Amino acid sequence: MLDRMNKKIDNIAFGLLSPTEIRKMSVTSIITPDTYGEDGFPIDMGLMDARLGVMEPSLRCKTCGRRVSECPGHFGHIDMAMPVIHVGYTKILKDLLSGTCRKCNMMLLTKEEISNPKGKKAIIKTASSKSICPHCGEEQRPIILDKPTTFREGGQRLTPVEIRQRLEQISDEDLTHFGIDPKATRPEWMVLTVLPVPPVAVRPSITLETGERSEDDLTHKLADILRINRRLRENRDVGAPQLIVEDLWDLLQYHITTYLDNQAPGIPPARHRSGRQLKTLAQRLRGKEGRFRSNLSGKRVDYSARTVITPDPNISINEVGIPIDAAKILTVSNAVNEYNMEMLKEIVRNGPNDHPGANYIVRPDGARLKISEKNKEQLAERLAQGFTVERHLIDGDIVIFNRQPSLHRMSMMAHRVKVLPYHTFRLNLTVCPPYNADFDGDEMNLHVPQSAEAIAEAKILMMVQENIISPRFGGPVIGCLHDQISGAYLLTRGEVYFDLEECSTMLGDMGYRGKLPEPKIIDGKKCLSGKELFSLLLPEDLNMEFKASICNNCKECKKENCDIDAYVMIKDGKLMHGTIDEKAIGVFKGALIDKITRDYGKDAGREFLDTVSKLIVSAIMIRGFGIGLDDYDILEETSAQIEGLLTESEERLQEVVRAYKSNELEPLPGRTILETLEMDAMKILGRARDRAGEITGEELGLDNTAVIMASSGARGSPLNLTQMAAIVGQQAVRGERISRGYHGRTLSHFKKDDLGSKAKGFVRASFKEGMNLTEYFFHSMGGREGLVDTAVRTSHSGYLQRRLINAMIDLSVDQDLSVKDSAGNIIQFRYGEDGIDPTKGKTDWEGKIDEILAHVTGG
Amino acid sequence: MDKDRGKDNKDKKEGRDGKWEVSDHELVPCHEIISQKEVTALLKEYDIEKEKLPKLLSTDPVAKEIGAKVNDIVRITRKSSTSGVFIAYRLVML
Repeated sequence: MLDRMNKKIDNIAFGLLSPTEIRKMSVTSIITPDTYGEDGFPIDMGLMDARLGVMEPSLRCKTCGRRVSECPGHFGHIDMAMPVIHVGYTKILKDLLSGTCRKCNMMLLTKEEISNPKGKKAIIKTASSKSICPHCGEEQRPIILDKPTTFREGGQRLTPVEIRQRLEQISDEDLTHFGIDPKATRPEWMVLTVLPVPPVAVRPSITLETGERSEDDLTHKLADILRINRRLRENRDVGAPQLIVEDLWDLLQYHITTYLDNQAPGIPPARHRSGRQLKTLAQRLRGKEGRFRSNLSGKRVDYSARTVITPDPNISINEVGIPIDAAKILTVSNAVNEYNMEMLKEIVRNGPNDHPGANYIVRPDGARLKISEKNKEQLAERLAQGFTVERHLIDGDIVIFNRQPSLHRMSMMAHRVKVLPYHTFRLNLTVCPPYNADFDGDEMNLHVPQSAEAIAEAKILMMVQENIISPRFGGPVIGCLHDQISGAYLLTRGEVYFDLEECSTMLGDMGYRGKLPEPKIIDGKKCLSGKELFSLLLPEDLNMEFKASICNNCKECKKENCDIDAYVMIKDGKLMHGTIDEKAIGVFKGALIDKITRDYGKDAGREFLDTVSKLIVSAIMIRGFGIGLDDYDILEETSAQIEGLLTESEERLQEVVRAYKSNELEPLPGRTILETLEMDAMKILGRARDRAGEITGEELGLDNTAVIMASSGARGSPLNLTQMAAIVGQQAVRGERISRGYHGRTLSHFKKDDLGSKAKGFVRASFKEGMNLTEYFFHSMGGREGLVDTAVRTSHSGYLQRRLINAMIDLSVDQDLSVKDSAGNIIQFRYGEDGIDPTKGKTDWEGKIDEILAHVTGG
Repeated sequence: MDKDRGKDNKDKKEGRDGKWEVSDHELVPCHEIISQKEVTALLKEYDIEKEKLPKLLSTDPVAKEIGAKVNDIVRITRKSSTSGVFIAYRLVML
């Protein structure tokens, strides 16, 4: 490639095609709207003239003599009977016409005004606002653009001929002040006298099954232009009445305008016989499905696949399960050498239909031979060094896996292939968070890197295990979720014992090979504790201390003597105290995952994640875990207590309302009395719900499965619990109690000016009891707001993200650790101001003197 | 490194009859024009031309205060949440 690059682009200039240029590049003038003759061959000087290039594989181009695949196509031209304005340039035309004198065609500016430092826009504006020419003193009339292409000067219509004459008179020097380079563009070229006709390759005709030909929209439009053009010329030449000529001229203008842009404002779009809008030139380029966004910015690739994803907890985080049918289509090319010859021969012998097979072999001369059931034996025999085999994907190949929206570098990660039966991509659950994937029908894409370089790069930089720690915040983005966290909690909290049979189930599931600690005898059975089992996964010299997620943040931490076993202490790879939960192994938080991947390497991190999830899932299956309605049952006394609490709050609210109504309420600074009342109400009712939550929480206790999930960080929050078991609480719209609806009240169920709790959206029931009608309505109002908010937020943040990406797209960190753009401009003198890669540097050293000392002194 | 670096310009206030300037504000970091010698060293360190540096408008209030002229290079010493103190340079333009 490099040796062919002997030319360098120095600059690019944009300009308009002049009529001379259009004629020069044209191979023929087009005069007749007909396409094909009765013999089925293109008519000379018709829209499908063979000199414009040919579309049939059997024909040769009349201009260059080449076939379809080699001939690039050639332009023709149509000579216009009368000049016509180009819609794309009406804005510039208006500036030019109103900025120059109608008599002397000089720019309406004095010398001083031309050197206005404010820029071209300001110059053009002052020129257009002049009413008298500073050069010849002629009075100027305002130019109005009547959309799309009609210009009026003081009410009188300017014909394209007149406009063209004026534009011809503008001097080159004045043009530069309008921002036009006179060497590349003359303004009169914006009024068309000759129209280029694109080659047939741009507007191919389609042959239907019936043998009927159907022409492209552009061809239809060009035919319209030709018909009107001919009629206009004939009428003008025979001296038809002015009115008829003008009508035809307008019609020609309409056809040219819609040919260029069929969605130009102020004009009815040209339609197909069926009523469908024609897709003309501008429509081909514009918008999401246009040439730019769809074909130039958006590329489609080979060696890729897409299907639904489903979970598989038994494959490694580094792996991805590929349906066998996909593996037989996706290929990797392997060069034949003396070491792999026998293996590749075997693969070729399997043919394209049996799994570890191959689809093509490439001969040293570059010829690709398709392997079929018939020739597979024969091709396998011919295999020799210098050949390349395009073999099926097999276990261990590297592929890149991706889920849109790709907002992250972790949205595309490299996985190892694992060929599996059925038709979905299989994904380890712990890698869902970086992809933001779930299994409610999500689909994902897969790409197979082909070259050795690409494979190596994917393996070293993009492998899942290399991305456990996110560069965004320096913590793990891959970690345990949901049941895995509940499972860890059940396994490790307190002293839980499993007999040896259960232990061997679990250890078998996680594939443990190694020694076991000395079992204890409990109830006559040899047992191991959950903490001991968990310790088997930890590196032997691991030392850590931290607070678990279930920690209540007591004022004084009792450390290892914690009442609820929330203080995690790991000594020499043994979990001595504490519960393993979200803080240890969860996504975004897991301190253990972070420590292991940073200190013991990516391989150890991957190994830990793979085994810990298997152990935990096995544990939760032995113990059993589930929730039912009666898990939310609360004692009658507690119920009564909550009831009392609510009545009391209700009374306090009524008190405030009374104070408000008798104008005795003291307003808060900067608030009206009503605002003060609302704030008080929110506070009182909010506190009532919080208190009710605390009471139910105490009653349910730490053995309740819902409480386990909430406190260990597996799923749900204490608030969800309160709402299910005790009380839903105040519903809010825009952060305030619900207030709108009828005059002075929210619903017709309430009296006017009722400021009490029920009338303003306080839901006293719990989800379990069920809401009454008004409560349900208020709850729906709050719920709707939530939905709208998320919809708005995602679109906003998506656009913000896009802008940031476009602004920073090619910034890079240089060798001297400075951040530079592609032109070498310095953006930041040191990356992140400290030059530290958050995935590699240590975080959270602050306040951990002991740990630092231990680390430095080696214990 | 000279001692004054990182300090704001508060102590210079006396000489200006107590008149308030933008650089007195705590959110405005210390700006100072650097010598030709330092400029050469800076450009050598990053192996760049002057024009590749970030820019500072000559009409910027701080630039006016410290009397920076077009083509001067200003050193900005600011607090940083990641590295404590961070030093940046800007080329005065227009």
